[in-house]
Amino acid sequence: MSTIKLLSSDNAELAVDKEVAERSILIKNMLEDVGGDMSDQAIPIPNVNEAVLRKVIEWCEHHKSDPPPPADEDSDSRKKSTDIEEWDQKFMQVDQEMLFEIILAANYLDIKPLLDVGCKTVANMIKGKSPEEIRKTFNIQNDFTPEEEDQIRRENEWAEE
Amino acid sequence: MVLPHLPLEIQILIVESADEVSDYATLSLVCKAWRNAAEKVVRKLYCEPFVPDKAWLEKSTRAEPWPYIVLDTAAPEFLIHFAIHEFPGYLRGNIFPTGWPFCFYAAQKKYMDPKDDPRVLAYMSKIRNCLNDPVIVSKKHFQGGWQLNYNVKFQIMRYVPHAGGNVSTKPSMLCMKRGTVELGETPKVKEVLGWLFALQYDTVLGHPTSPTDECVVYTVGDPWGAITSPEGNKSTTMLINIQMPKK
Repeated sequence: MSTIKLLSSDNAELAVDKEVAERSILIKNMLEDVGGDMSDQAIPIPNVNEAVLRKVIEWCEHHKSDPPPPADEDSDSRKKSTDIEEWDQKFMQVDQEMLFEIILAANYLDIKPLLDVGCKTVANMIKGKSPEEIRKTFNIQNDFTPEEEDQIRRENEWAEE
Repeated sequence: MVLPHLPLEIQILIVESADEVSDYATLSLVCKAWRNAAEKVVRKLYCEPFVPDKAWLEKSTRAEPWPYIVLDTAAPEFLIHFAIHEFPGYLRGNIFPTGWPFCFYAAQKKYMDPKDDPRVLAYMSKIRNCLNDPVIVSKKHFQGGWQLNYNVKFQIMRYVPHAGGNVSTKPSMLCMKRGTVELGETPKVKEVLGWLFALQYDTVLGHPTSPTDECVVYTVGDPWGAITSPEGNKSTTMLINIQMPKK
């Protein structure tokens, strides 16, 4: 099995099986572009630091044999935030900063299943929080006027029983 | 600690990962972008009701003419929840612990047929998070205060050829008067399904062992206006038949 090297944003060089690294569509495409031979040169991953990259590689190693995700999900069904397998739940038991960094890395590296797990984990995390608490968590500005907010609250009464 | 900022596209993915409409109600109050995302997700649960036209009726294998006015001039202004539109004809499993009329399997019926229909099981699993959803919403916006131009009665009719024609549930008490619709006053999925189940006859909503040409029809509209509209009568009430096809 061939090994490639990844270079994190803080200049750490990590060796990883090619098969594992190719869980990232970004890396897979890069390798295809250069004919698959990157044995003597580290692939720069400028947006991801060593700690996060190690976590992402750990996830990819565990999931290296998973079938590829379906191209188009069933748009009629809600994604269930509770549908996270046990290993992934434990994997995601990290502090919030690391969780967000993993999500950003999964997005940058184009690892959709990891991105989904990260988003589902955050969705579970904000369950039961007030809109104000959610805004603080995500550093979001409230762009509603008080009147608009009142109006939405009235509209949402049906869902809050 | 300063958390990394998640770009909006990822925030939207997080909103889409919520799994209860009550979550969406909270999420829609965060900011305008989240509200749009939450509304889009909830909207995916609704679909266009099927309105049979004259051609459809002529092709129908039914022995009797449909006892409804055909709505062929305008499509209904509302969308209907998939839980009603995709209702497979019967229900399985005790999903409502709150008692009658929301407990499908209280003392009414127990479909303990070991041959579970995967389609019905999948349906039951799918509707678990939708029980409090309004059964119909406006096509234009996911808000209250829209105008419903028809009286709406939630009733299932099933055409049973060997029984000589239509067999229906008793008229449901879950009706909507035409006029301004507020979301809080709209019947919920669990109420409609609960009523349909509680009011069934043996031949309605029974286990689908019936002939293949049988079809289930969901009736919107009350030709006599007796329940839904004091001023309603046969000539002023538009009727829409929503077929729930057997797959």
